[in-house]
Formats: sequence, structure tokens, C-alpha cells
Amino acid sequence: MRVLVLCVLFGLGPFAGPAWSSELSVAIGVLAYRGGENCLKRWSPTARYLSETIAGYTFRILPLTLEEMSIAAERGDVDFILTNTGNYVALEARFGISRLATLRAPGEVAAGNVFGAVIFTRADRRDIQTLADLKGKRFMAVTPRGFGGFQMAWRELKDHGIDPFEDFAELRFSGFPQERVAFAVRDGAVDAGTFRTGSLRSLEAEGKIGLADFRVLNPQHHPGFPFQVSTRLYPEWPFSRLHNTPHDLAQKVAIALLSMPADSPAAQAGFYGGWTVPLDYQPVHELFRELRIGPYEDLGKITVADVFKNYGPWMIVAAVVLALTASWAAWIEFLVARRTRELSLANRELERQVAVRRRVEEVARQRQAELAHAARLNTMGEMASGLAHELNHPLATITNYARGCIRRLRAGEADTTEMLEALENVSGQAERAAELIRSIRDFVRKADRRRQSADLHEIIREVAGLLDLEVQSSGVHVALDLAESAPRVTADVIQVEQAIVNLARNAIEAMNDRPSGQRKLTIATIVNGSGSVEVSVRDTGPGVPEGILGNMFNPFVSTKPGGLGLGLSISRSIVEDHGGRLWVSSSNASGSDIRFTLPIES
Amino acid sequence: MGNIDPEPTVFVVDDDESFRRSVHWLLASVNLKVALFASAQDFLRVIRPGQTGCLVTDVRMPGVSGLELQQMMVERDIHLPVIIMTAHGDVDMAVRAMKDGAMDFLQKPFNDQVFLDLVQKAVDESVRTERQRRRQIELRRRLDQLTPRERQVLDLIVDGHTNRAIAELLTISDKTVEAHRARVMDKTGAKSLAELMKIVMALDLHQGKP
Repeated sequence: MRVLVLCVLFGLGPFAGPAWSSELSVAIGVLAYRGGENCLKRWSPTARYLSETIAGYTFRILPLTLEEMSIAAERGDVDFILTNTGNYVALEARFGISRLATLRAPGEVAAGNVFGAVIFTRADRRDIQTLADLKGKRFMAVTPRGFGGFQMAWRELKDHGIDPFEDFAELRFSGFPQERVAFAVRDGAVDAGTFRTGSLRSLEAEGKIGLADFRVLNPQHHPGFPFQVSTRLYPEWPFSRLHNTPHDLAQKVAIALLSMPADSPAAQAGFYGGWTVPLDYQPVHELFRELRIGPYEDLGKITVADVFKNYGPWMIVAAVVLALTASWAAWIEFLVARRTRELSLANRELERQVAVRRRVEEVARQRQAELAHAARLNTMGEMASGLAHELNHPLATITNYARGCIRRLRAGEADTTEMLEALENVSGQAERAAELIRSIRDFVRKADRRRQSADLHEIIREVAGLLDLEVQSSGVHVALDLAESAPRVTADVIQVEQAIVNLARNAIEAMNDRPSGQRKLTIATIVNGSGSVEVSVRDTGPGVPEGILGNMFNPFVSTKPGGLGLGLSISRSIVEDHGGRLWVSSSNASGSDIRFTLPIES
Repeated sequence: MGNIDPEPTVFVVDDDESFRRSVHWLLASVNLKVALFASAQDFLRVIRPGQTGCLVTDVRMPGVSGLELQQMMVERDIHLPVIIMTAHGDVDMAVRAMKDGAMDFLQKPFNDQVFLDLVQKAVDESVRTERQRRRQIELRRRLDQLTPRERQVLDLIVDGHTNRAIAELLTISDKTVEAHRARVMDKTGAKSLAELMKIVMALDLHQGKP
């Protein structure tokens, strides 16, 4: 199955490997929710596209059921996985797979990489106006494990006090095709139903239903989202790599997917519109956590049954003891005392176990956040390095055309038609470059909607924790010099962490040549009553070289060998997106001090 | 190849069409003959031994990579100088390419003057090597026309013997040596002893003592 090892056997470097060896076979496990044949038909063109785009590898599709998917992910039988959003999150939590790109829905849809579910009833059902009205009614979803087909609606119903398994008169599942849900609601077989967004409209387009016959419950408004929707929005299917898929290959795949045109034969065969930068799957984790399903199924579920299962014998003993006490009170008082002691021990044990489980849950949650964070940083690195590579092509092309024009003009042999054509090419290539840069920016700004009130000091401490390993290995001493009052900011915590991490990493790397006793990184906050908080990241490195100082915030300007020069520019766009600014406060031979501000919550 | 020198040509192999055409545009500004190829395979189908010019290729391409192409050319007895381009400033790859005989390594995007100078240098080098190769073939052909006796005489001349000494060594008359010597000069086209020495040295240098 995995023949990538061959690469190593050939004894060639990572670059030369694939070129010298004959084609390496790469397996993509794809969730076959409508049977293997359908899956192959839909996704083989995508595999073909990857084989054609990435030299030296042959990609093939391996249709898998949900169960097989888990086994494959655990054993590493496949190199990549394409599965539904819900399953992805479960596999991410259990086996550390991580996403490379997110699917786009076909067509000219601005928000094509997210989807939700619609909960609907028949238009003439005056008795059903809100989700709460569904209590005691008959409800139909697609499958119990369907993410858009049930679980999204479940979360919203739960928020409205309805447990779909308890509070409906009847809960039915239609299976595929999901159009059955619409028919059942229309024909009055059930009172309401749910499936993924966009389905109502496509059924109408196929002439199977009339939109006017239905009314959407709990309508939500998401800017830019074109369909009627009753739930929060979640990211589309991700294409992900396994924990030990070679980095280089994963990067090539990510780039190949991201540069697939929306109208390529592969996208058309797969009924999708290409791929976008990977989205944040945190909202999916939240859903699962809330519903206690998927990876969170076993967490914190201490029920009466659990207690009875674990401590049943003790309870029986207690009952017996009580009976005995009633009958022969005086005679066996000592016995009661003993039994009571045992019982209280059991109680304490029970409390202890509850506490342990809570702690396990807490740790799991933290670990999850760390994983998501690390994955995001990694993906960012992968993306940035890939995009920097891709950018070189249009830039080289532009340079050549421009220099060619200059030469001809200088020599006085410029032919207008020829020159026009060359200049057309220049502007075309500049657009191609701009498009690539836009995708980086989109990625950075993706999470705009997830801002929340946060304690900036907590964020900084979190970052210090994240940097722990790097700091230890590079012998840097980290000092936090935080203002007395803890400033609260409205921020996307992950982004702000990212901004500080970038600055701190730069600082750490800048001190590489310093003797180990003189490497000190200081992160300080200053609150000076101006309505904003100033964060300072200071190092004891050699300062920023003169020549770089002026344009160090430009993307791809770097003083580091192999550095991409994206860190500072990403940090700055994050800070500016949060209404702050970022600048070099000082930089000389004894160190640099980079600062940024964030508005304090009023 | 026939007798006519194929015109020196810059062969550009790169899978990015826009980039390929932009290189053409640049090279055409200095009146170099250019041929563009989207893949190493396309290039290999066309190229023949004896062609002069140079090869400009990207390291990373679908199918056969630039580094691999270098090797395949060696196997096919094609000795065009190779200029490797990459979008990565990857030192390992540069070292590898140079070790495998690439003439130079350029990072995209590149300075036009540096590029054109390199290409010109490569083309000149190729033309020079090809001329030398053809001259050697020609000299070899001429030397092969000598009879065994004439060959013996030639060897002795090159070793610095006089006609008299040669006559004694081969136990033939001075006159006969003279006659052999005249035919050697005639067949090799050498006009002086110095020229004759040069011809023999040139072949010696590359092909061992005849």
C-alpha cells in the first residue's frame, strides 16, 4: 500500500527521490457514503488530476466506509483522507490527521466552502412557527450520523430545549437520497424535517418540489451565505493528510488542490468547485462537545447508571445495613458504624472519580485546542512556503517580459504589436500573483467572525507556554513583564496568539548568535490610559540590519536563511485587522523591540 | 548529423507556458535562436548529438525533472551546456545539479543581464567544444589513412628522431624515409613539423597514443 519508503531505498534526497524512482503509489481514502462505485466515479478524476499535476506519483482512490476509515487512519494504510466534516474532526482528535484544503461547493457561490442545515416545515403549518413548537411533532432527518443531515439540526434543537430523541412524537431517518425528507414534509408524513443547505433549492431546480411549499424555521442570517439556513455554518469536507504522510508530498498536494481551476474536469466530475485554504474546524468540535458525540462521546458522562454499575454492590450493602439497623438497632450498632464508615469511603471514592473524570475532560479539551492550534500553525507554514514557491513563477515571467521590453526600446527595435502582447502578459501574470497573495490573506482573515472578549495576559501566557519547547532548545530566557491591570480585548484569540508567536519566534531566532547567557526574550504589556494596550516583544539580538528596516514588514522580506518573510507581514495584518498597529519601537546592536497595540474593551 | 553545422539554439524546457514564452521574448531581444519545450520528453524527441547551443531547464517539472534530464542527455551523448533554473533557492539542489555537470544555477526570477551573459557563455562554449570535436574526428580520419609504415615513421618523427636516425632504425634508405615523410605531411594536411606535432598531440590528449 505505502510505497513511499521506496524513495528512501533509492538513497536519493527528498527532491531527487520522486524524480528518479518510477511512479510512487499514493492512496487517498475517501468516505463512500453512497457505495464504492459511486465514490470511485466521483473522485477518480481528482486522483487523476493529482497524478498529472504532481510528477512521480500515482494517486488512487480507496473507497472506505466510516468504520474502515477509522481503521485506515489508525494503521496508516492510506496517505490522505477525504471524508465528511464530522468524521474528519473525529479522526483528527483520535489519530492526528490534519487538513490541507477545504472543498468548495460548485457554482458562483461566495461562501462556497461552508454549509449549514435547514430545518423546515410545510408553508401552511400555522401551528409551527419556532423550533420550540416542534415538541411532540413528527420529525425526519437523513441519517443519525449525518453531519448536515442531522447533527447540525440536533445542536440547534438542543439549544431550544428540544431533545430530538425524547421530545418528538416520532423521529425518523430517510436515508439517501435526502430528497425523501422534503417529500415526507410536503406530503404530511412528518411535520418537519432537516437536511443540508442548498438542497431545497437544487430540488426545486430539478423540478421535484416548489420552494413556496416550505417554510424555514429558525432562519439565520450569515453575511454572504446564499441559502436559507436554520443553523450555524460549518466548514465543508476537508482533504487531509495523515500524521506521517511526508511533508513534501503533503505540500505538493495542498498546492495542487488549491490551484485546481473551479471548472476543471476533476471538479466537475466530483460536483464541486475546486478547493480553498483549509478552514477552522473548531466550530465542529464545539458541536460534538455540546452533543457529546464523536470524539467527545465518552467524556464526562457520569449517569445514575454509571454510578450503579460501579458502586452497585455498595448500594446494596447500604440497603442491607439500613434494614438490619431498623430491625436490630441496639444489638448491631457497632456494625452500622462500620458499614457507615465503608459507605463514606465509597462516597469519597465516587467523588474522587468524578473529579478525575472532570480533569480528564479538561485536559482533553485543552489538548484539543493545542492540536487545533498546532495544526493551524503548521498548515500556515506549509501554505506559505508553497505559495512563495508559486509566486516565483509569475514574478519571473513578469521580470523577463519587462526586461525584454526595455531591451527592445533601448535598441530602438520595439514593434508596437509585439510590445503590446508582452505588456498584456505582464499584467496577466501580475494578476496571477495577486490572486495567490489574496489566498494567503483570506487564510489569515478567515476567522473574523470568531472574535470574543479575552484577557490579553492570558493570551500572552498561553503563547509563552506554546513557545516553551523552542525556548528550551534554543537556550532563551523568557520574561513576562505584564501590566498590573489585566486588559481585556475583543479578539480572535488564535489570531492574536499567532501574531505574538510570529514576533517571538523572530526574536528567538535573532538571538541565535548570542552567547547562551545573553539570550533574553521579554514580552511586556503597557496600559497607559489611551484606550489601548501596548504589547512589546523585546530581544537581545543584534538588531535589524539597516537595509531591511525600511521594508521589513513587506511580505517575503527576510534576513533569515530560508526565511519566507511572511511572519511579520502576517502579524501586522492580524494586528491591523484588530484595529491596532505594529511598529519597530527600537532596534540597535543591543536588541530589537517590536510593539503593537490593541484597543482595550470599553 | 550531416555536414552542415546546425545553428546554435537555446533550448528552453519549463512546464510553465507563460514563463517559457517570457524567456523566449528575452532571448529574442539578443537575436538568439530559441526552441521551447513543455517537457523533457518533448525536448529529447527533437535533440540530436552534434547540436550546439545550450539547455535552460527548470529543476522541478512533472514527468522527467531537470536533474534527471541532465543524466539522460549524457546517456544519449548530447553535450549541451545546461543552465538549471529553480523557483527555490535550494542549496542542496544547486550542489547536486552542478555535480551532475550543470554549467550554472539560476534562481527565478533572475536578472536578465546575468541570464543572457550566462546563455551567451554557454552557447560559445558549446560551439567551441563542437568545433573541437569535429576537428578531432577529421584529424582522426586523416590519420587513419596512413599505411602502417607511414604510421611508424610518424611516431618516430614525433619522438624527435631525424630522418637519418629513422632510416637506421627501420633499416631503409634516407630517400624512402623522405618519401614516407612527404606522404604523412600530405595526408595529415600538416604544413610544418610544428603543425604535425600539434595534430598528434591533440589526438593524444583526448584519445590516447594512436
